[in-house]
Formats: sequence, C-alpha cells, structure tokens
Amino acid sequence: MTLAQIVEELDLTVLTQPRDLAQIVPTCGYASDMLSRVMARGPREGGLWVTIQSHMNIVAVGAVLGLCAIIVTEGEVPDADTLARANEMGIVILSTDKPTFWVVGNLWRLGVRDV
Amino acid sequence: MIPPLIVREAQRRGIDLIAITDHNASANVEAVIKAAADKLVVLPGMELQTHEEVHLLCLFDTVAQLAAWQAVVNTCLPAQENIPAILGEQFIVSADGDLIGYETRLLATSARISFEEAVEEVRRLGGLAIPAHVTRQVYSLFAVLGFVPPGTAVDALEISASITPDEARRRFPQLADFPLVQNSDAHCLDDLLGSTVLTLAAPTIAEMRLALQGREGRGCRIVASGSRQLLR
Repeated sequence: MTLAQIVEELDLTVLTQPRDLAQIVPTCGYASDMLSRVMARGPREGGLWVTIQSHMNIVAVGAVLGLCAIIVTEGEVPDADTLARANEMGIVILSTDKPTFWVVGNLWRLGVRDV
Repeated sequence: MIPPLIVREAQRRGIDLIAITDHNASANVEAVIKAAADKLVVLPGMELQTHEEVHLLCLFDTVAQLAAWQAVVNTCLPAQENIPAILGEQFIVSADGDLIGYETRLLATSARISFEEAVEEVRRLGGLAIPAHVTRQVYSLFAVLGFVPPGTAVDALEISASITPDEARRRFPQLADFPLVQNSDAHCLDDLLGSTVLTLAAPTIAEMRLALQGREGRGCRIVASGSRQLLR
C-alpha cells in the first residue's frame, strides 16, 4: 500500500510540498500523542505515525525515527514553520478532520500493520 | 490550603518566597498575597495547561501582569462548565480563608494556546516561563513534546520534588544546560518543600532571571533535593 493510495482512500490533505507519494510504501504504523512514547517505542524506519499533535517537535521525532509520513488528525494544522521543517527533513505531513480511531481503523483495513 | 495556613506553614519551614499557581486560574492569588502581608513574598502566578497538554509555570511581579495573562488565557479556555461532582469544587477564598465564591468554568483542561505562544506571551508581559515538573510522566514538556522545542526561550526547567537534580540530569539528557529549579507543586500543606535557594538582591522577577542565569553574583541552587523528610 503506497502513501498515494492511502491519501486517496482516506481523503487526506497533503500539507508538505508535492512529492511522488506512489513511490513511498510505509513499513508500519503507530499512533500516540505523547512524543516521549513515540521516541521510545515508536515505528521503525519508514513507518507512518498518526497523532493529534501538530507541534514543531513532531518533525524532529519523525526525523529521529526516519518516518516516511505523519498523519495529523482531528483537524489540527501544523504551522508554516513546522511544514517548512518537514519539507527540509523529507517527511510528508498529511492531515484530516477525522479522529485518530477512524484513521487507524482504515489504515489497518488497507493492510498497514503495527510495529 | 487556605491563605493563613499556607503562610504559617511556609514560615514554619523557613521559606521566604512562594508562588501561587492554580491551574489555568488566578482568582486566589491576591488573598494569599494579602494574608502574607510582609511575612513572606508571594509571587502571582499560574500553572497553565497548554494546547499540547504541557504544564507551564507562569510567574509575575504584579497582580496586574497576572491579570493581563489571565485575560489571554480566558480567551483560550473552552466554553465548558466545571463538573463539581466529578472534578471537585473550585473554591475562591478570602485572605482569611473564608469561602467567597466558586470558579464555575472548567479549569481542568487545556487552554487553546501553544507552548511556544504561551512562553512568548508570558515573557512579553514580563514574567518567567518555566515548564513544570518536566521529569513527570504526565502533563510534562518532556512526556508530551519530548524535549525543549529548539529556540524556545524558557527561563528554567522545573524538576519534581521526588527526584534529585543529579538523578534528573542522568535520566533526562534533554535537561542539558538549562537552569533547574525544584518546587513542591504542593496541593496540601504537608507538601511544602523549599529546596530551591535563590540568591537575590530583591525578590523580583528580574532578579530571579539573573539568578537562574547565574549572572551578576546572583545564583540558584537546589538543596536537600528530593528529601522532604529531612525538612520535616
């Protein structure tokens, strides 16, 4: 399941600069809003992270873990600095008005599995 | 935790300076300042819960500054009422400790202001911004956001009463070179601590800022840390 298909199926908004998302296949998924947990137990290289946090630090955590993308849920929107940083680090930021539960359920349905 | 008892207990423990920092609120601050009179310095403050669920200590020189900050926070609080049966009453008391009212807004929640915006605004108003109990597993900067966001001008980091500075620095490398303070976060009289010693020319925010930075002969150190028993 590529990131492009996930964006299409879940009707996600791509907030970072355009990239060929069909070339990106998430290795696994993880959901948490506590960044300390994500850093300690989060997804491995190439993983996908679902959270309501839109804070700048999500990019740093994503970069440390080498994540391919972060889905920000419940209508939260990272600010311009956060998105600029994500572009710099090559991490795709996606957003949706839907809650995390809905997003994770659908990712599972599409075959994305946990760490 | 009524004002005259707070003052008496602080004096009994040899504490010279306290801050009143209710959760997203400040209605009880003036009562404690009045109760303390010239016996004790009482800084007007607040423990803000930011949008990310980070607790931030906001300390000021004057009640007017705190009122200006409260006005900002009020615009960020959700339009929800407290549920006393579950969350408890939110009392407002006089300097004598008499019940004079209730805070009816829901305070046990997050204000819709980001951590960085809060730090910036508190400092703009002349206050100190100190992330609270960063060593705790809940509602702390380190638990929620992992580390101090780069470029954020926090004045110090507060460690919990239950940990020593050495242990804190060992377990949390994110503390790095930030100044540390230790506060009791007292919710009852028995919890008052007084383990942070500030060397100041006067009990002001400007002096405290110098002390936290260790400048101009001012200083800040944590003594008898994590050892409440020794103070009893």
